Amino acid sequence: MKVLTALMPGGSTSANELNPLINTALSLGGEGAEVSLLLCGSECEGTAGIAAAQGLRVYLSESESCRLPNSEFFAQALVKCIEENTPDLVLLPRGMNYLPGAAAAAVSLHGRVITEVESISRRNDTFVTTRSIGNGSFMVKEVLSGKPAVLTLQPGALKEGQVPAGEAGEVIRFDMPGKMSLEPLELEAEESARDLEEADVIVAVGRGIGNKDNIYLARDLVKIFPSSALAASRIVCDRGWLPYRHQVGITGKTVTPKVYLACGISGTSQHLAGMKDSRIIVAVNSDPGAPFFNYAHYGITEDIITFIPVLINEYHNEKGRK
Amino acid sequence: MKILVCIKDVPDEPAAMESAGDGYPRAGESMVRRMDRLSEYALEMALAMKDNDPAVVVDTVGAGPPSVNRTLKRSLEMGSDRAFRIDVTEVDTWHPERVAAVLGDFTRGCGYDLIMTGAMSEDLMQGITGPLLAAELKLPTAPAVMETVYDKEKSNLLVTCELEGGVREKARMALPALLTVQSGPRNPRYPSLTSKLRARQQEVNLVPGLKKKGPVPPGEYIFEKPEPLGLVSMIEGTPEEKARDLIEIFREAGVL
Repeated sequence: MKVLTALMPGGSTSANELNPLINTALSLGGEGAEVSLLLCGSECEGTAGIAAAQGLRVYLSESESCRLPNSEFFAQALVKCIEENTPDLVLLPRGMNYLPGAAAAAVSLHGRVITEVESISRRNDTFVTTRSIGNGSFMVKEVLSGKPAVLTLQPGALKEGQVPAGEAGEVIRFDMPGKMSLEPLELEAEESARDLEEADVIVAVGRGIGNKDNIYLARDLVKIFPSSALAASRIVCDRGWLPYRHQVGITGKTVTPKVYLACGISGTSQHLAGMKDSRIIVAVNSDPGAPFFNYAHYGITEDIITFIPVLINEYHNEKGRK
Repeated sequence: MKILVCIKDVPDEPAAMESAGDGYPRAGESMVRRMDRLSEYALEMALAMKDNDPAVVVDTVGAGPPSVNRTLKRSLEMGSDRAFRIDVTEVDTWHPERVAAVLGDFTRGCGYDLIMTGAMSEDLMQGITGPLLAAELKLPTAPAVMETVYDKEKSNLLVTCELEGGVREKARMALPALLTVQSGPRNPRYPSLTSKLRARQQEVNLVPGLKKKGPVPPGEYIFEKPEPLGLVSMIEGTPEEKARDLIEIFREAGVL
């Protein structure tokens, strides 16, 4: 079986991003699998060398126009790789920027494309993918029909760990036509969202916070924990109540804190996808039917506007008694 | 400039789908259907360009059974010039390859400078129909676009795309092109009375059904209700009692 995986790093790619993809490709491909990797960016040579040393055939397409993520360049490079490699399975990371490539690959292969795959397993000579639909109301298991398939994988579908040593592979460089229709100009990162990745406790607010003026309640709650960060659902960011760097979910950050405290968030699967691997999940919502309660370890039916001050007050009372 | 906005029709509560006889989950017939949220944002983005330049033409298209007409009528009320419904079954709309194939058949040769879709639908959450349509038509795609500025003289667009984690990328793109549109700070408009009156005089144009079933037969599907994470422990009592219990949970977790 031939498995092609690909990454579009904006600069250098760390082993943290690369290894899970390679591990997953090796695992799904099974014994004797031929696993290849496309790296499409700038300054990727070091990463390409590491991957080749792990036994992969690495296709490397570097260009100044890939200094920033370039979905069009990536899509064209991926199609070129596919024409040369004719893989049975193409594995891509999750992300909006990978979707044009996933679609172009599927059209090129006359194959299936399945996005936001949450888990994948082998069944005899084929694979079974699982993903959510309808805000998490259903899981769809799809048995691939034996045709080539292109999958974008959520982090939970990736296999962690060190890549086993293999015989040295090779790095194949190739150039792409210089002129593209899409010309990336600049990246705007609001500020580092690293605090979300490193916090033990994440206090996340949703529509239930009511308006921008109430965000201070969540900020006050964040302060009672020594290691904590403030997060938000998409609607809170869309409404301008918090900047997008706070967003958790499919189009935001994926987080795995010790405690995820969801305040006034209904629990769409887009949001759940970004935090479901948290160790302890607590949902506070005035609606006892909120879907989040199906995915939480602990639930409290209260209006967060009135409950958060009570929680902070009780914390300080208890601290004062000690 | 000629813009086509692809409109997705979804059940009002996508989470309330139940298994139907043919194995596909469906919303009950009594459930109201409406325009997908990100389709609304895509249409708003197109209409804003029309506001800036009245020469811009905005058409909408949706694929599905006659029930989709209501949502397409809404697009006319919001201000689109014409609306088209491609006649396919509801099951066909489950398969992005099929939807992209019929949209491609419809679009080819119509001379649209810009095609817009929502970045991801609320019901099927695949985010791939737009990119597949672009691949079918061999158009460049900008994914998850939140803002656009049209340079009429140079016939190009300045787009702001959302990458993951609050990072945005600004890019320039030549036309024709396809954008998948993400929500953003500009809310979709409510139809004005004038627009509603104008839309009453307009019909949704019917486009004959599927010429081809799409490039790939679907695999075997199994739909299941998801297992909850675990039985949630609901914390009961007065707000103060609940708060104290929660603080105890935080302490046991070692985070306080």
